[in-house]
Amino acid sequence: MLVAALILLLLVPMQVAVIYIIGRFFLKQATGPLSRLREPEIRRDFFWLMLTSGLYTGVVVFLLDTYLPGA
Amino acid sequence: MRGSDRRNIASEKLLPGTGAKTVRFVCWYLAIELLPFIAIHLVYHKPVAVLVFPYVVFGAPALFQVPVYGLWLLDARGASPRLLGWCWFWLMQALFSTILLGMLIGGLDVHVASRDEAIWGFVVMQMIMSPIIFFTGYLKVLANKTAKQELV
Repeated sequence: MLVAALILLLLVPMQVAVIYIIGRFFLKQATGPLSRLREPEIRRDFFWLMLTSGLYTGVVVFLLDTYLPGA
Repeated sequence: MRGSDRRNIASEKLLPGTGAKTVRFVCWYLAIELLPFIAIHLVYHKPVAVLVFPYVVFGAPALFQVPVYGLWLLDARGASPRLLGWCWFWLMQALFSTILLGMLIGGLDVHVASRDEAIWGFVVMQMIMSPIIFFTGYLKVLANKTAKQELV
């Protein structure tokens, strides 16, 4: 339970923030598919996909923590 | 436009060879999906981990085929590149996490990992893989589909 709460509270926003900060540095030189991240709507998709992916991880971890034997 | 007209257009113009592709898909899917059941039947008296690995090797890729087929139809009907990108991202995310969970639970069962190691292993791998899957599952699909639509 504690682990799942930690994921939801800390790791999800952290994942989004770290990727966003790193992305800002590389975005100016980016070529190929990555250059599409310069478009605002693609960047919005990136944000939502990372956020929902993090939430999905949190839910799976919550289920693992609740139902895996040996707590 | 009536529903039957739309179906006719889809099968005659947008989706040439739909019937043959569907038959091939169903045969391939059934053949692969049967393998884990045969494996499970053969090793029924063995520990759970032995049942997990045939699923990871055969079951997950077979299950992966159903939504892939759906996406193929969606693509053929002219869905937007962004929608396809979203679908591919979640499809790859689901496949990756299924395989990862299979390996972690299998690892728990044969005592190569503790309970906490399995949980944190899942978290760390998800954090590493999510941006990679975004690149391969979303951005690459987006780039390919946009290029194709521009050609048309």
